Amino acid sequence: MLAVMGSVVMAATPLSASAAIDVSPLDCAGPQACRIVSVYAVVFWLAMFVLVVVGGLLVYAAIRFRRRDESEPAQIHGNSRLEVAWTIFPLLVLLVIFSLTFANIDYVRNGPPGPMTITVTGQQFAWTYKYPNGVVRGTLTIPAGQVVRLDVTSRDVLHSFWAPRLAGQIYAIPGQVNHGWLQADRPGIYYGQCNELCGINHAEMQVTVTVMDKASFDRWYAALKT
Amino acid sequence: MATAEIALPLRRPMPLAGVVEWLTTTDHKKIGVLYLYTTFVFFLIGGIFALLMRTQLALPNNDVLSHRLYNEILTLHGTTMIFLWIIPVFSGFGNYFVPLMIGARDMAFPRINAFSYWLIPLAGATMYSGLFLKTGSAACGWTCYTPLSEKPFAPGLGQDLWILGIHILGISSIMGAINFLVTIQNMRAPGMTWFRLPLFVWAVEVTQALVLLASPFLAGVLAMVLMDRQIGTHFVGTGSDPLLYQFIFWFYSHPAVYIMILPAFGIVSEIIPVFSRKPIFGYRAMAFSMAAIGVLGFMVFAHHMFTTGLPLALQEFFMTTTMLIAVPSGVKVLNWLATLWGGSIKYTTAMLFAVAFVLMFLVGGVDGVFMASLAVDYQLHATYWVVSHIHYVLFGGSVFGVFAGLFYWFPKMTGRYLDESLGKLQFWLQLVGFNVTFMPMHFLGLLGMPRRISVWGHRPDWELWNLVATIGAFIIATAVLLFIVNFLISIRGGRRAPADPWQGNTLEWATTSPPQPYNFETVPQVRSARPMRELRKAQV
Repeated sequence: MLAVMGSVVMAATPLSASAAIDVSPLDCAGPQACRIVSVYAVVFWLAMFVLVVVGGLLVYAAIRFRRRDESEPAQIHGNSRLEVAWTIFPLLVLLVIFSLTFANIDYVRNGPPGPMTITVTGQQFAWTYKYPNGVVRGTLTIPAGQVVRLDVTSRDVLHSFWAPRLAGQIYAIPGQVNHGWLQADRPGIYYGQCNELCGINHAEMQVTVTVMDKASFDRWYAALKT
Repeated sequence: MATAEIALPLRRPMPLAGVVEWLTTTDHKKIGVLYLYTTFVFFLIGGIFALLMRTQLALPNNDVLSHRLYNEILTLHGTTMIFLWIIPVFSGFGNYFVPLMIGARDMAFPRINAFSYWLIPLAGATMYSGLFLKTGSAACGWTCYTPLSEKPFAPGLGQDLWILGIHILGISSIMGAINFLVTIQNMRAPGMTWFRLPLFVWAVEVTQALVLLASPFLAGVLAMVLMDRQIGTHFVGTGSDPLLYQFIFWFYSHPAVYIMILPAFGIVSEIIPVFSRKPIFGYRAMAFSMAAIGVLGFMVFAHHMFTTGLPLALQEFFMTTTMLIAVPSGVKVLNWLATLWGGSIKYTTAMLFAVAFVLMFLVGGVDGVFMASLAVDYQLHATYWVVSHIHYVLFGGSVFGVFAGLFYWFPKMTGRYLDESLGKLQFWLQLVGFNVTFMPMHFLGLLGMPRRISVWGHRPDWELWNLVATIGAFIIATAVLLFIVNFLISIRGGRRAPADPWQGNTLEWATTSPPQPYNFETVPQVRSARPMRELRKAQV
């Protein structure tokens, strides 16, 4: 499914687009991001269906009914049945999207409980990550295959914490803690960046998530000192 | 030499009489024309800002603009296009055509009308003046969220000037709204009932009601920011809840999206029936759907805040209303389609723009539904997907609607046609350029590119689409230049247009082109929603 959708986006993308610095939310690498992709996929095909049918009819009508002679066409003022039909039809399409979102949103937003909570703090123009043992680091390191809970906040202005391949974004707001979570399936390095304009160097406020296998992470964490 | 002097007339016209006439006019048509000229200049300025941004973003690690300057231009591009172009350009059309279409001789309050207009260039100048300060203009995006726009993070005066500019525009808008509402309420020709009102007038009515009800919220919240900055209060900045600003801001700014698109709905609903030679399909549904959009438009605003950590139940409520508002929009698209169906369509430039409007608005509606789904929005929020979405609605939609209106009504305003060959060339260039610019932004969003970044690098899969989008932006610029050339040629040398060049439906075509100062010699009696068609039939 993803391959088909991705093809729309990536078909014309240069082959040099290696996975190394890929930040596409469609190229999901964790259960939350992948759950979002599964919702996106349904919305995508419904949207394509509507676009092709309605857009197609529009283009057809625009070409088919060009003026051929000066006679006045039939003066039709409306058709209540048709109009009711095309009020209900979009409602049904939207109901599908609504139900699907509704069924998945608790998982995406709240997620399963996890053994470790890391406090993510945004400030102009860097992120810091505070581990349960009190150590603060400049990049996020997490174990693969395990839920990591995030408490996101800010020290100055608004920021938005976003590692697109792992999870949806979470706003960092001064004086408020937003709870979120992420999980990566496999070890690797995942990138992202602040997604809320936060000042002059906003574009350089990067997110780096290093994912280690569980054993390596445990060793790394045990050795972690202030 | 002496004889030559004697030959001169004794009473010369006052020097610069023409200029004084334009500076002091209270005629709704002249004020409408002033609005159109002024806002078009702002469109060009905003367009130059856009080209600068696209030039900066064309290549990775580009350094055409500094971070600081990019953020300022980003802010002024959005503010210009929204507040100084799209919203007031429709006030221009409204000023010129609402009185004509309802068979009135002027707006209800002509002098307030002139005052509303003259505030607009003042507001623009106030906002831009920040650019000439050492500390620069506002640089927080057109949304200017707190705390970024508060004193500690934006100490310069440019931020205050930006707020003052918006305040001045707010005064202009609110007075304009009262004027439009009173005019439509009280000055309709005999027989012009609510359900014989041209759909453009319906659109203006709903739009101006939104302006009247929503604008005070924006003015209020910006006054809070201003007080925080200037006298040390803590309404919406550090030490209070920064989300309060967003709630109030979007309570204005989401209805503002409809303020920007509804008048274009109205223009297109006038043009499509005329050139299809059919009545609009489902007149009442078209009017009611605009009213429904107006009401629902106030109930969707928190969908701009899905990622801010609002309680899930609240998010679900706003997801529901957001999806509901897609329904009347869908009804409109299908009714336009049904109007075309079985018609006898003549493709003037105005009609090309109107049909393209429907198609582009369809794309902009469909790609908006993605973000109504909370889960999808967590990923697409504030990415280039959003940039694409708003431009499909506000450029492919509203701006195409503006050009449709300009080609349609130019003969009425000047007595001359705009050149159709140049117009069609412009249309195709603009349609291609628009899609080349903004379709790739969908892809960039899906590739994880955030909006509002002043530079990007190390992202090989963003390279192609950024370059393509920039090329598209310059194609759009070429199309707009063609329009300017067309205008300059046609205003003096264009083909002469009769009073009713398109076989129109509405009353503006019943008077001369251009209309006399008092519009109508006798105010016509209205018996249907297409009074001009009846007048034409009666003459045959």
